Parts: sequence; C-alpha cells; structure tokens
Amino acid sequence: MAGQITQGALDAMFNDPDRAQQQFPVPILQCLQIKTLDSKNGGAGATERFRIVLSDLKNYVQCMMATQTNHLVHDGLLQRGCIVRLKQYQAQCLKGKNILIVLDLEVIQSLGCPEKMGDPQPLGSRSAEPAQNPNLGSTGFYGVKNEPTQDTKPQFPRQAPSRNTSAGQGSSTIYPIEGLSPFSHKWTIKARVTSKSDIKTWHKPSGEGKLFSVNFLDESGEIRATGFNDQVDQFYDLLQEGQVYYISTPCRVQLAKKQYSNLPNDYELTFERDTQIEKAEDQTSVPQVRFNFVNIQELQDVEKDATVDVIGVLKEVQEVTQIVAKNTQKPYDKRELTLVDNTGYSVRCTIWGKTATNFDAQPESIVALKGTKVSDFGGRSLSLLSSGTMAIDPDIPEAHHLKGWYDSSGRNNTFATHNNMQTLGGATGRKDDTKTISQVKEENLGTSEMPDYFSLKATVVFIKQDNFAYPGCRSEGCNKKVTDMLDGTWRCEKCQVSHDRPQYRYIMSINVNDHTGQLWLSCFDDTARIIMGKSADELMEMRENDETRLAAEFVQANCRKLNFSCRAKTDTFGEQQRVRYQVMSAAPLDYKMEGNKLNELINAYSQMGM
Amino acid sequence: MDGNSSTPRITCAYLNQYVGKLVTVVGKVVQLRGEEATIDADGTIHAFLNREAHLSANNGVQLIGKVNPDLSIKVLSSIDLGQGVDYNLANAVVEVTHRYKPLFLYEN
Repeated sequence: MAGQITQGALDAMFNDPDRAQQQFPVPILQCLQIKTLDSKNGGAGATERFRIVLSDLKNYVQCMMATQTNHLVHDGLLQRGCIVRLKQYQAQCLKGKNILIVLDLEVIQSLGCPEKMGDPQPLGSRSAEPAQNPNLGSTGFYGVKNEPTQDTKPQFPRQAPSRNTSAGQGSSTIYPIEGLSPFSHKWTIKARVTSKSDIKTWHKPSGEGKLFSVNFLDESGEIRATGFNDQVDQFYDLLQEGQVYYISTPCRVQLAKKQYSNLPNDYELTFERDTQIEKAEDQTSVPQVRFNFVNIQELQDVEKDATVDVIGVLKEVQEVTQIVAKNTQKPYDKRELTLVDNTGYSVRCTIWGKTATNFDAQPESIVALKGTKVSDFGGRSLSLLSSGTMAIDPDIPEAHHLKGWYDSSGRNNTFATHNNMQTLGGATGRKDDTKTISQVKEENLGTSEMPDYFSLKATVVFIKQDNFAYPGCRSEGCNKKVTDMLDGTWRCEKCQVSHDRPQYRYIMSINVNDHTGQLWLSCFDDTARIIMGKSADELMEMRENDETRLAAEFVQANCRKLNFSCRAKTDTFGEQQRVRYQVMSAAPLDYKMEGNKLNELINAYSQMGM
Repeated sequence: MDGNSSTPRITCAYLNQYVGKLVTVVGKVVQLRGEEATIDADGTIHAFLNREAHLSANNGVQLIGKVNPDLSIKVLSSIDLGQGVDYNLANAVVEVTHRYKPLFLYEN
C-alpha cells in the first residue's frame, strides 16, 4: 500500500512545481491528522475550517481544506489515516512555513485508514501550527481584501518586511514606508495605492507642466508620491487605486510639502525617469486603509485645522443642500451628519460633492471617516476633505466595538456636544474677541482671505448724514434696492413687483472712537435703528419735511457708547483694496459686566507688576 | 467743581484717612431715622442727611459729604441708586482708586 503513496510529491509541489506537474499530477497522500478550526474573527462569521496534515511518507505538511471540501469531513469520509487523492491544490509559503491549500480532494475509500506509514519529516521549516485565522490586533491592518480565487485563503498574519518568494522583486529587501528618508540610497517598498489624483496642469510664466500624485500605504505607514511631466506619461496608467506595487529607487525622497497632503509623513516621494514600479503578484499582504482614530471627546483637544480620522455611530443625517461659494460662484453639494461614539460626545460632520449626494447610509450604521479637518465652529465640527474617504460599516474592530456599545447602551444616551466649549473669548463662538481700535488696526484684522470677527466697545462720535439710507423693496424677505420709476411707483427687479413707496433701509457710516483711536464702521438697517432710535422711513420723512428736526435726531444719536460686534474684510474698489468694517450687531453696555471686566483687567495688570 | 481738590471714593475703612475732607461713598441704606441714616459701605457709616435727601431703605445710595472727627459723614449731596447696585464692583473701584492714587486724586 505504501507504493500507492506518491513519495516525494510534497517536496516537488513546494520546491519544483514544474516537476510536480509532470511527475505527480495527482499526488496520493496519507492524512495523518484532522483538526477543526474555530474561526475567531476571520471575516465570514462562523465558517468551519478544517486543517489536516498530509504525508507522502517522506515529508508531511500542514494543509487547509477549502470549504467546498468540508463535506468530506462532515460525511465521515475523511478520517485519520486514510489515503487521499489530491486533485487540486495550491502550495503556499507563509513566513517560511509551507502550507498546502486543498481545493479538491478525494478519499480513496478502498484503502481504508491505516496507521501512520513511514516516518515523514516536516517539509521545509519546522511549523508547529498552520496559518490559522489570526487575531487582527488593533494596531494591525484593516480590511484585507481576499483575492477573488475559488476559496478563501487564510488571513496572513502581520508581515514584517520579509523576503517574498513570489515573483517580482527578487533580491532586494522590502523597506517599510516609515523607514524612507533622504538618506536611504537603495530601497524597495511594497505598497498599495490608496488614492490617485487627476492629472493637473499648470501654466505659469516660468513654465508649464503636468503632475499627478498618489498616496501609498503599507503596514508601517503612508507616504505621498508625485510624478511630473514625463513621469505622468510613464506611470499614470500603470498605477491603479487599490492595487499593490513594488516601487524601487531611483526615486527621490524629499521633505513633504504639507499643504498639499493630509498624510502625517515628514517625507514624500518624487518619481524619476528610472524609478521602477511593478505591480505586485500578491495583492493581499498589504493593508487597504489605515485609520488613526481620534475619539469624539478627544476632539476638543485637537487643534483647529488639524486633520484627523474619526469613527462613530451615525445619529442623524440631513438632506443634501447646495451652497454657492461666494468667491468662485461655484455650487457645492453638502450634507451634514451627526456622529456619536462611546465617549458620550457627538459631533457634526459635513461631507461634500459626490460623497454627499450618493450618501445612503442609514442612521445607526457605523461611519468611519479618514481625512477630516477639525474646525472650531460651534465648538468643534468636522469637514471631510476632498482627499479624505468615508467607509460605512467597515469590517474593523473599532466598528464592531461601537456597534456593540450602541446596541447595548448607546442608543438611549444623550450626548454632550462641544458647543459649550469656550473658544477664544466667550460662549458666542467666533464673534467675541474684544479688541481696542488700535488692536484692530495693528493686528491687520480683515486683511487676510477670511473675514475677522471682533467686538468693540466704542463711542459714536460722528454719523454721516448724506446717504444714510436707500430705498428698499417692501416684499417680505427682499431687501433689494428699488428703482424710482418717476411715476410714483418703485420697482424691484428681483421680485418683479412695483411698490408705491419703498421701505427705506439704513446703510449708515459712523465714526467711532475709543481711548486708542478711531474707526469707520458701516451699519445696516437693524443696527442703525438701534443707534438712531427711529426707523429709516421716519428719518426720510423728516428729511422731506423738517430738516432741523433731522439734524437734531443725529445730534441726539451721537456720543453713545455701545458694544459693537464687527466683521472686518477686504473689499476691492476698482484697483484699490480696502479693509471695511461692518457692524453685525450693536448693544448698549451692561455696566456691571463691563465694570467687572475692567476690574479683572486691572487686577491682571497689577499681578503682572505694572 | 473746584480745580484743585478732589472727592475720593471711599469705604468705611478709609474714613480716618480723610477726616475733615470731602469724600464720596457708595453703599446700601440699612436704616433710616429722620435725618440720620446708617449706610453699609464695606462697614457701617453714620450719615447726617440734609433737606434734599430722599433715601429709601435697602436701596443703594451715593453720598458726597465731609468726614466728621467722629467718623460720621455730614452729607452735602445724595443720589438714590435704586436696587440693582453691584456693591462688589463699587468697592473694587475704591480699592483701585487707592492703589493708583496719582490717577484719581489730586495731591495738594
């Protein structure tokens, strides 16, 4: 009976596949052992997997049975000792250990189940255990995509950069991405393309060109790579998102230009003409996405404008809305989500563009976001960057953890928000930095791209009396200027309506002073009404009828000290650029509060020793 | 107002520094008895009121008057401040006045 066994087949199968095909097309082996694997968290729920030991009398090797062969064990056909015909298999070498994947197996029943024959030695390195479904540690990688073969391959444990016997890069060692620096001269990395940008072109007086960039990911980290001009033609079509490649020197490693990337690496790569890029045979040993989650409570310690990843339970989804960007007039689709997590905090997150319009996750699903920008609007809020990605119900430990928490207790929780977080200067969010006039001018508020908001405590010293109001449309919600048709009617172009008289609205310039200087502010209807104490219509009427009374009104309104909430921004007047200060709201002083504030200020000064 | 004198704001504790001088006091009316009043300004002060004084108990009051040798005040002018007086703030002002005397007081 021993003669039936194809001795030496195992050795050939692993070390000389061609010979194995010729000499042992259908190896006959003895099954020495059968063990059931309880699957832990290996993906597909409760799949039963069997591992067996097969021997060809010379060697033995550990094998994983493909699920389609499970029936042989269930039906009791495959037992310890019996002889099998291996009809289809795959030989793998995992971390130096040889593993056989059994795709199709037939039990030769006529030979029964003899005792272990011969004295088989382990094939290759001593392997005590086969590759089981390993525990994916929390620092491991997520979402390893199984290759679309007939069976599910065993999950590969986290591989240190090791020599791969698969085809492709033969001799050079694989570097981890974190190890790349300008000092490394010769290296190869094996990484997956997590995102690829479009080809961008630029035309400048200094020259023109095109570029594209990709983000590479491996177990150690991520790095951005850019190809210019010729390299765009060389590599753009070769590199596909989601695929794994070997990239080798020559390839430049430089300090990263952080403003173009959301990755934390200090360095970035630039492709050169001789850079080698090869698609990897083995697409599975590199992680797919790498998350570095910050939990929602920790967000309050994260600085504004930082980029983070978050994961949470989707509590609320708003409808898609469209907003038009003021500067570019382009419409943008946006959608707001509310996420909660097991720290008991909730946060609003905005998603844009296609991600927003195609969003279809249900509340209570788990949403993971990679690459969100933190802003201090409303305390803390998030915005998904265009380079960021979103995953719904991802198959990662954090997601399962959150799901479990939500199902048990989270659903009924009330969540704290960061809204009561004091941003600089007070509880009203961004509008509350109290400044003196000299500070406003010194700090050049309003000269940057974004408008600046501040509070000002100052006295009105002069109100400009010509053109303090404009005729406005009477329609509800419309404040557009109406044209005097000179026949007693006033026409609004926006509403296409005529009114018999306009509703005058203030557009007032006032000069205010404080102990440090003077400033011109412009007020709109609601603020000016507070200052004047009368509506614009009334004042216009006075202008028609009683000019002296009008003058008196202005005098009376003068010299009042108020708290102004202002916005400073730069406007272009033809060729000139000027900073204009607009009043968002004005309020009379609460003397007690102001007095106490001043007291504190004095105490602070004296503590500083002034 | 004279050009060369000042009427510093004080509380009870500073009375003995300003005997015979004109001072301003902000405090709460504790008791009213005809032309006499008891004022709480971080301590108890006796005030002898004049004809025009129309005070109400428990209201705030600002008095301007001269300090007598017995540390009572002869009131020359009074203003009723009503209910919403922040006495802590008022006292803080007094403290600051005395910490930064040159800013607030004329030194003769």
